[in-house]
Amino acid sequence: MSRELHRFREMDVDVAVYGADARRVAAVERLFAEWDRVFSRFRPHSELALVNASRAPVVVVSALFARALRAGLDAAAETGGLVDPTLGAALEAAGYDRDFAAVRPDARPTGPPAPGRGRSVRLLGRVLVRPPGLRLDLNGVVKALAVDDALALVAGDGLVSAGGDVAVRGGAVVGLPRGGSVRVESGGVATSGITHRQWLRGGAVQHHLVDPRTGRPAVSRWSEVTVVGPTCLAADVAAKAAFLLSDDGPDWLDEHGLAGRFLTHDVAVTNGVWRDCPPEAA
Amino acid sequence: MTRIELARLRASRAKRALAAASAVGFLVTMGLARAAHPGHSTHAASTSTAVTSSSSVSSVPQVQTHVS
Repeated sequence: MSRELHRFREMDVDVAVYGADARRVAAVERLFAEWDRVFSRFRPHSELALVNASRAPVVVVSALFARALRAGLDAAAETGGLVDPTLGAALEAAGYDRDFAAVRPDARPTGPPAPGRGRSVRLLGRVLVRPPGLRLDLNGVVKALAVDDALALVAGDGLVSAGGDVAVRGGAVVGLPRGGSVRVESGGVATSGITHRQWLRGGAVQHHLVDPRTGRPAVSRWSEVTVVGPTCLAADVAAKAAFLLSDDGPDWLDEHGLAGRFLTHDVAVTNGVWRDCPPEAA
Repeated sequence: MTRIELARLRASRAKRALAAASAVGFLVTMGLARAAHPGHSTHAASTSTAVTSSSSVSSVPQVQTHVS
């Protein structure tokens, strides 16, 4: 196993790969580069942008696009619609309509709310059927799915981290927000929250975690939620759902047998699974 | 052990069993999502603008989870 930690930047996040030789690191880089070309909301010719721009009710998408959309639809089903792949319009209405680095305070009011419409989407193999005008955003699952896929490219033990989403095989120490760390032997760790990617629109603070029930940036008791799960995707989806559920987030994670750590601006709270079967403190 | 204590013990076991079953269900769902379309990304183009840096890791790798 390579003992080098390779770092690069792709999909607007920092990526770290451990346990891979140069050839496999290059393969991981190509994976992230391709996923950015397919799923970016801001590349005018990304597949996502082309699908969203199409007025046709039925479109044939690539195998990769179909796979990520299927993951998004499955996440919606598993979370009762809390993680929804149809929130593109809601993000744009809140003002997140360009690369985040280019988002500036804007006095104009936000656009109309755009609640999630995941149930209106049908995916049959690579055939996508959805109401014209529906704007997909798969970034709720794409980064974590890419991390899991990237780890599959690493032979043997290793880890991949992208923007704080982590997948591990063979053991790693994962530092937690605001201090502390856990040792993870195999699985995923992800953190969702609103301490980054905030901006001003219409005189109010906006952020990127939209509540599909309202079509607006979510209101939650928590500022960040960290989940340890069997995969990075499972951890990321659960972290988003637990964040959106606010006070009910810890119990929801308990019901799903997942360990979670919740932060407010001054308090850290863990759920029952974390307390009963804590990830090994490092 | 009193009847109340026995009832509490049974409830505790049932809760643990339910949590374990839910965890398995969650894992199966996500596993199916991943397995649904196995073909992907091996045909990626070779161009990349990313810059790679490397550093030696002495023992167990360490990373940070955070909001991005």
